[in-house]
Amino acid sequence: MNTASHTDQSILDARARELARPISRRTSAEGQLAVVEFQLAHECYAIESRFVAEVFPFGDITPLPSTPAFVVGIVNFRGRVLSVIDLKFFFQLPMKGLNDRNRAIVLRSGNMEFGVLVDAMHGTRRIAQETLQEALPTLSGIREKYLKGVTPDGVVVLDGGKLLADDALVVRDRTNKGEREP
Amino acid sequence: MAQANDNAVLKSIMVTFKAEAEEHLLAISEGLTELRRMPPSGARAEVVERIYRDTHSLKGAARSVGLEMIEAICQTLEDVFAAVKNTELPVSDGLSAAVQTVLEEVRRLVEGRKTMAANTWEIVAALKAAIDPQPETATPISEPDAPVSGPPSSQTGAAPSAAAVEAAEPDETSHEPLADTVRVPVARLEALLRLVEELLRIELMSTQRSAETATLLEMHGAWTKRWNGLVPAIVSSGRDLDTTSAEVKPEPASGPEECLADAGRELSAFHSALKGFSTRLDVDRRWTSSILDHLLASAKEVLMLQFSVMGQMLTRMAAELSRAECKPVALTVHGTHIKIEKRVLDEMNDPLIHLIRNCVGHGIEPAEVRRRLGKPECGAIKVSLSQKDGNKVEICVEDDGAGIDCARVKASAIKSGLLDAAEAGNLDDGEILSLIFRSGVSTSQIITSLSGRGLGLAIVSEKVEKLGGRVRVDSTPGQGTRIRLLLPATLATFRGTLVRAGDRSFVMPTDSVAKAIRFSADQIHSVESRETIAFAGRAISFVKLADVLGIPDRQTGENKGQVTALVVHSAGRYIGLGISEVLGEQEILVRSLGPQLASVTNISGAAMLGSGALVPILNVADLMRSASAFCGAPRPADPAPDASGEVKSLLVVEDSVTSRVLLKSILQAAGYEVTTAVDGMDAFTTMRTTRFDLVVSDVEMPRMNGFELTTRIRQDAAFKEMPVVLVTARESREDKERGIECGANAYIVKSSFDQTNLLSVIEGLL
Repeated sequence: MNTASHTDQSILDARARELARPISRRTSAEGQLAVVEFQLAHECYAIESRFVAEVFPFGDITPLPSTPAFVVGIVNFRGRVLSVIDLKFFFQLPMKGLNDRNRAIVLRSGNMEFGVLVDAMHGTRRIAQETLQEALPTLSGIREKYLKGVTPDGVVVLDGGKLLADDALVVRDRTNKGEREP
Repeated sequence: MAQANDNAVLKSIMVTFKAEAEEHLLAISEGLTELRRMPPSGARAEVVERIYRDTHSLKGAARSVGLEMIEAICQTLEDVFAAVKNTELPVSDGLSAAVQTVLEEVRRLVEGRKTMAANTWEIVAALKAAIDPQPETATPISEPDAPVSGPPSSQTGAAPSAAAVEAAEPDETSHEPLADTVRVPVARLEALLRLVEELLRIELMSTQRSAETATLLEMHGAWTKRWNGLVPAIVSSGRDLDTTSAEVKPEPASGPEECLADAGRELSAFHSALKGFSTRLDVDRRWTSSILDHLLASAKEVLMLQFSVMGQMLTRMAAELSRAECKPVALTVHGTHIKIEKRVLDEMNDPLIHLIRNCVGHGIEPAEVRRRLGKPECGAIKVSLSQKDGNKVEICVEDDGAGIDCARVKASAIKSGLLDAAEAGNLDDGEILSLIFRSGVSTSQIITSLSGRGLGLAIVSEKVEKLGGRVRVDSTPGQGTRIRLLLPATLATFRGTLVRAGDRSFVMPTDSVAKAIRFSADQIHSVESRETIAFAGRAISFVKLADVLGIPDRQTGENKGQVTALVVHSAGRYIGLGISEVLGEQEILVRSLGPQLASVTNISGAAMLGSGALVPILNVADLMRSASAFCGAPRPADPAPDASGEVKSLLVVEDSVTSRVLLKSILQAAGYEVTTAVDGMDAFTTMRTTRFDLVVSDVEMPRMNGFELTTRIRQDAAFKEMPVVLVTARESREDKERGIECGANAYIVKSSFDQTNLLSVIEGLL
């Protein structure tokens, strides 16, 4: 009896300790990444929510000639023009044709804005930052460039900030721009 | 040019400047405070960047109103922030306090005081010393005891100039009463104008709805007709039924027949209601569009500016160029009271700068030459604006210089592959003159940042045509050159011709379309793998739009044998573009392609149609270039590999590792093979063992600098013809002349260093 109550007590103590832990360490935004999860070809990806302005199901997309292969085209985004790119091109994933489940994740920061074509949306979730792992050896090359980490269940978290800031994604063809005054 | 009018303009510019300067000063000082509070982190870089940009803008603004003292101070501050940006320099309390003191002084200068507290230059000098241990004593700023009143005096009087800049009396402007006026920042007005233009979408949409309703009416009309034809048949078949059961049903009336008649009445009532709706919709549409037109015109009216605003800037620039080039030049501006819409004026900014640079750079002869020719020593440039018929204005830039040397234009055109010698022989002077608007044609013998790359005039003509204008040039050898730009006074609503190529739609700016033609396929002639068609009595190149754009072209069977084409023109050139069909012509709302598609070859933007669909708008000047590349003509636009398929190899000489890597990657991206050397000595040694096609070299380097390297290259029999491009951070006339002397082919200033510039220079030389 005595020993049993001793065991009970230790369980209760453990529970009390667990409950007494500061909330921030369990569920708050501290150390947690709010991400939007989506699918590219057969793989799962995520981007931090703070870079995602919205998820936009688009109807018609107008392809643009004379643009690099990763540019899917432009869509009418509430009366504005939004360019949409396909990251699968960089990740060497099969480029499937467009279907009616296609959505664009609109990434925005400062003056930069573009849509990232996704094959399907999985929704939002929170990821504990400390569980993120370094790049897997299989993720080579350019994917590593945009990589924030990989979750234990294999979702590749991309760094939205790096995507938005990457000048290589900006199409700037050589046109006869006037020389500027210094 | 009326002096009084001029002063008034200057005053209004000063008011604008004050407002702008105060904003920048506030932003800088707030940024600085923020910076001191925050720990070094990523966000810090953002703040520094912001401060840096504000300082840079303030510097530019001060320069444009001729406040050289403020400009000089800002230069130092900019250097300080640049150093902070590169995190070499921590933002200490001392530094921050010093900067704040200096900012306070600048604020006083902006407010109209002409002198500064005696110790300000010392603080500025101290700031300079903080970032650069060995201050260059040559710059006027680091002389702490320089008399501080007005702009540095060494800058004035070097060359006669018509600029009345120094007459600025900022003191007086501050007490100007502004009766019945509201000062609104231009940005806000522009935003408003953009919104008004957005309303055009409503017009487009209501046109679309109107058309849809007309279709509905038509459909319903057809239905009514069929119904009316059907009813007698139903009724009669109903009677047959009735007769069989007549005995059973004694009450024959008010049954199905009545129902049918009712339905018929309802149908026709619905038809007339729909008809009324359609008519009212049309009336509403017309009413909306008339109000929108008025609103748009008024909104544009608000943003009409007198040409004098631009005139001031040009006069000042001519004076500066005159000093830099040591050529006495006077620029006069006429027609300053005429108003142009701000956006048109803004678009003309770069072209006019190019034209004035051309005039000073190679139009006006050096003073001694002019003396010998019996011309007045001081060259005259006249910029005049005049009103033309129908919402048009003409800007005319004239100089009394040497005129354009047709022979040299011809030679340059042949060299850059635009013409072959035989073709050139058949051109008259007018046609040759129009060649100067083509990319790659220049009469200058050395490339400098001022002129010589043969790009300037191509840009002028492109910009003017983008606005729906035209450029004309005439020149009398020995007497001068006159370039006339015919422009719309307000930015016209864009009209586009909607076409289909393959299975895609495109919009061609209607201004660029000379004609839409249809002819049978056997009228296309093949000359040396290039196809031509006859247009207006001459042969013009013909290409399929789908081919130029690299999209699949699906020819529908019924059109076999017949070809539809648009004849489009740019810079005096015509080309026939084969398309599938013309879909129509309409007003177009032009959108940019968004920040991620900063510029795309062949596409200038997107049109949003009434239905909300987006259609790419074609860029005619680009298409011409792409088409000539497609035709297999010499391609000056395609650097490497060249016609022989051989990859050109370049030697990059640069002591700074960052610049070296940057240059290397830019050039490699353009398809060149790149080898690097760390200084002139290293370069020369490398050249002995490896063959290069061109050398790109920095000027200031240890051991052997760029000038010495160029001289060595020129002296060596093996490398005599090697093209050398000097890239430098310093823009001075002496250096440029030194560059010419030692035999460099091009001299590019880094500050105006964007990669397209360098690439086009290299392309031109290879």
